[in-house]
Amino acid sequence: MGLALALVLIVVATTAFHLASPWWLTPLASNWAQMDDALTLTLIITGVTFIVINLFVAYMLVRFRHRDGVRAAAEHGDKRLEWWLVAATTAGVAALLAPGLSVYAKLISPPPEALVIEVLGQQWQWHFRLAGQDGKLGKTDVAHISAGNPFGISPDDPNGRDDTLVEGQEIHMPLNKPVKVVLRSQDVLHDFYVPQFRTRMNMVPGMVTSFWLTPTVAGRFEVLCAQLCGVGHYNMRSAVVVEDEAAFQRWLAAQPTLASLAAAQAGAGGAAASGGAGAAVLADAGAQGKLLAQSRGCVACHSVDGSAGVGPSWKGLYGRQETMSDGSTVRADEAYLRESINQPQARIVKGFAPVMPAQAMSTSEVDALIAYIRSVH
Amino acid sequence: MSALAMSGQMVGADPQVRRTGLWVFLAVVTMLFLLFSIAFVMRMAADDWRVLPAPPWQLWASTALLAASSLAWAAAARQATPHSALPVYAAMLLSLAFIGMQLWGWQAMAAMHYGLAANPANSFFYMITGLHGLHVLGGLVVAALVWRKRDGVAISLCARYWHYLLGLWLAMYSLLFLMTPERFDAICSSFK
Amino acid sequence: MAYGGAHGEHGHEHGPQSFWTKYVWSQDHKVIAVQYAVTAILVGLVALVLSDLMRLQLGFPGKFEFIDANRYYQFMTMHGMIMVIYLLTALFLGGFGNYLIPLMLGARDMVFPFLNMLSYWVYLLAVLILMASFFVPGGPTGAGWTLYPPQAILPGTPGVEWGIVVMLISLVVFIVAATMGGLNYVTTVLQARTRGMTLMRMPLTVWGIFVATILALLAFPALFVSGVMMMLDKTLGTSFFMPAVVSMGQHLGHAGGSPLLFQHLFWFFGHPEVYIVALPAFGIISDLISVHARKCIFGYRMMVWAIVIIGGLSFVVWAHHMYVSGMHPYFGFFFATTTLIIAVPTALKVYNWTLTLWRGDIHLTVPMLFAIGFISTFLIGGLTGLFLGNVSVDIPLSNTYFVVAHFHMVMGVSPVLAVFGGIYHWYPKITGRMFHEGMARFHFWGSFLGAYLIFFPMHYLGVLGMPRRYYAYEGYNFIPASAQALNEYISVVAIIVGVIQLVFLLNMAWSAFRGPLAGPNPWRAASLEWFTPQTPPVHGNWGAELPVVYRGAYDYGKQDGESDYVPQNVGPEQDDRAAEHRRPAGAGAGHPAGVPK
Repeated sequence: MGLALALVLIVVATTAFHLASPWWLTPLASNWAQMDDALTLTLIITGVTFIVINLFVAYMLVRFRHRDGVRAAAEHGDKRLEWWLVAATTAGVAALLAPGLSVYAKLISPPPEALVIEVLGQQWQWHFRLAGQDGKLGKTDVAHISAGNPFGISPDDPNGRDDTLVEGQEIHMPLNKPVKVVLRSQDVLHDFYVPQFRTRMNMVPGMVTSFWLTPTVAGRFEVLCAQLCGVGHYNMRSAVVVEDEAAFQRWLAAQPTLASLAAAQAGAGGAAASGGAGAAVLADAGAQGKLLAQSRGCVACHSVDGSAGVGPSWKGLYGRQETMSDGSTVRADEAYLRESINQPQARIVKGFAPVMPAQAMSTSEVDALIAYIRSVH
Repeated sequence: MSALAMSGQMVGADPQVRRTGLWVFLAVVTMLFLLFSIAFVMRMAADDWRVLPAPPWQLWASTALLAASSLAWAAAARQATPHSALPVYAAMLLSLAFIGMQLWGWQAMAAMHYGLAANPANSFFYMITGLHGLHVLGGLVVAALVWRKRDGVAISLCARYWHYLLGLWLAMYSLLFLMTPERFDAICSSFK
Repeated sequence: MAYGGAHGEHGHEHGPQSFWTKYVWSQDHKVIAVQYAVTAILVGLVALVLSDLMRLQLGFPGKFEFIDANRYYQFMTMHGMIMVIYLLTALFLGGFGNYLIPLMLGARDMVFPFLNMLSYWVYLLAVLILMASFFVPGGPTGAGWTLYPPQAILPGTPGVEWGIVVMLISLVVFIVAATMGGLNYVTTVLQARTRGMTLMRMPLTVWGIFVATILALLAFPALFVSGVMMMLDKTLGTSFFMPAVVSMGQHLGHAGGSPLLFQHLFWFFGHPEVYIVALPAFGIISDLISVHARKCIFGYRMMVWAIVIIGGLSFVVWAHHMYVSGMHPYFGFFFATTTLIIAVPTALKVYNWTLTLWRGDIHLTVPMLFAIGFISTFLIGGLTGLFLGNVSVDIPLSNTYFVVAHFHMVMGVSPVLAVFGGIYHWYPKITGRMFHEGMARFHFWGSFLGAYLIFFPMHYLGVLGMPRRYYAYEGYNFIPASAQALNEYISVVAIIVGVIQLVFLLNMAWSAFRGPLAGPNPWRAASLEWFTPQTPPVHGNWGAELPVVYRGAYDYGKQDGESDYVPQNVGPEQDDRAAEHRRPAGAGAGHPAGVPK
């Protein structure tokens, strides 16, 4: 009796939970309402099945409970009933599969006029790139990736020179226009996941993958990495800003291109050679350090604006008194910073986890990073 | 139903049972090398694939040694009772020689600059021949153990296992040195 | 069927004599089974503790400083690997398979007892190697039980120096053990059935374990292949799975490899693996329901075919684990179709268990409680599989907590309920004593209700879009604060349910020595294992004469005569139904004689 009651209770409680649950799909912000419909249909069919069978079992537990003098029926089965059930189940399964596959067919067919946005994944940050005026993204190869060329754009490909390289951790998309998101990774598997968009895809090193959508709601949507990519997987943050076409174009125009970045670097080098050597060298080293911090993934855990991260923020770090996990205090001078970069496990700042990977860096690279940290007030 | 079993004796002694056991094991080994072969063919699709050279003479020699070992096992199995140790010892020695020759073949490949990590085709070569060799070694260990008991059924099962290993070696040898991306594409398109 | 003729070969006329040969280096399948079960349960307890540590972090983020991100991922990986491989696979095949197959088939032992013994010790070695990964520099791997490259062997993932290597070695050793055991189970079923025991008279427990073993023998090689190739990529710099990468600013020497190749190989193993766990559970549940509802399992033939078809189909659905992997999109159509097809024979089994209860004589014994619990939890676990099998519905749900809830219900909760039900059911056979009823019922209610309380709400976090394998969720605005409260609640329940399992262990240990004597067949079951001359059965199982089988294992629902069932080894002359039919019509027909037991 208790078990029958428990099953009824489970049916009631789960149904009530579903109806009252504040946790359900995020509001849809793309054109893929059909995916939500397919989910709803599946929910209805499976929900009804769950309720019916649980209640049926509960009923039988009561109706056919052991009573003295009554024995079970001698039946061994019923072939006709079984085949009917197989037929009904097959029909139910087909009813689920048909809409599911039909929206899938659309999912894998991006419209030819879609705007192409490339996302490059790296442990543990995102980079974004759009084609320039020529409408073509420059060819890339992992072999070209360096501190100054985080996208690995081939220097020989003229199509790459006008590619827009998005600074910072945010990508914009125009409202109500189809976008094909093209995905690459330079190290491990990642996944560009925006729950409100519904569609997403893994990013695989050595391959280019893609998905497409039409953003239908303006706003700022968080990006999550949805394929385990190491210890910083949960902290690989970014955002998609969906805005009207005019605003999007304004934002796009403000982003650097490969050509302009290269010119800026050359210009900085020239200034250092000509005069104001000390400050300019510092600025140059700081700029180098900034590029390194991005290419080596430091910024994934160390913010420069004071916000909390996996590791201590670099804002105002240089010269500050830091408390270590053993209670001692240390001044964050050059020697301390050098040690922290080369032997991250040597001393841990209180309140942080010892998860920083050790990376082989040359002395000049460490110099550059320290210069950058100094410059972040 | 085994008369042996009905009498209460251990069923495992029954020859039919042991034959079945060996067939099941061979199914597992087949699956293993089938999957290696599929991985081989899938990896072949990438740009960095470089076909292996003509096999060094050591691999032809080792093939002959394994075939000879198979013949020796067959001879051992054909004896009514396992009186003569000669075919069995010969078979085991020839198998050891096979392994030695395979290792020499590895050296030869390495000397021709086909090192393990230099190219995926090389990697498959060492890995597949290495695992095949391990199965030969494992067979030798089992054969030595059962030979001590002068078990006639066991000798015939060893023979079967060695014939299988020979067949497997020929299949892997052909795959490694004959299958190229072009030939694979040709095979696939012949089905269209 | 085998017809032997070899003479002069002796079986075990004398059993093992010393403590060591009886209980340690034993070749007796019953002892080996208990060795497997105890080892699997002990290592399962380790995994249970690891899951509670994970839940501590998820429910109370940052409060337990020693659970940092590195350790969290290591706990997560070891929890998953232990549970799937070292607990569930070992327990169903090595534990239940070893104990029940010879007894249910009327054999004296497995056909290769020495190999059987070896398989346990090699399994134990695999377990010890795995545990050693906690003590190597850098600790165990934190790559997730799926061990995907490139991250599994690149810096940024814990355990990349030693942990992953130790894990791969342990898996290879386990596969050797599983092959040795599997050879035994398959060959014994094919060759060592007693007279009259045709394949279609075997209990469904044997069918479930038999087909699961075939799957294991054919699927584990895929794990072996991918493990060897990953080991070579890691230790010798090959590029089977490793494309050109820049890892932590360093250009590495690999090039051209395919991470997707690993995934195909892994899931070619990984999907049959879940049926290696599920099929024995299906078989056990069929037997539990039949015995305790005193009714023949509904549709035995179809149940056998369903097991076989599910086993076969399990090899062609694997890429439903890869819908968002970046594989060629056309594969999505194929695998969604095959996956939804496999739902049909599976659903049939659920219908047949349910229909067995119809017009049954249901005794709500402890094993029956667990069997009903299985139906309910497997039902929801299987139904959520329909969401994930349908490719376009899967895409937003992939790698979220919906997946975690699904596989826990269908792999973690329901098969474990089947394990418990099976252990309670065969406990009197194995030990000769009955377990403590009150503790067992308490264990059932805590585990069954607890499982729903833990995993049902989790589905909703997944639909919301909370990704799995996240150490923390701070700073994500689309996740409401209530979700964190839900995580806290789930953690508390999970820890309570974890503690309740101690009641089970206590019951098992205590009752083996102090429980009331049970008699040879307290459940009045019809299958062969209940009719050994001694309880617990001794070495050789059957005494001088092997049993002979005259009918299937489900002859329940007998309407006349003193008892309501006919054991498998009872012939037609002894079946008093035949005597009834010879009486003139009308006399006594249809009325149960006396009070049925």
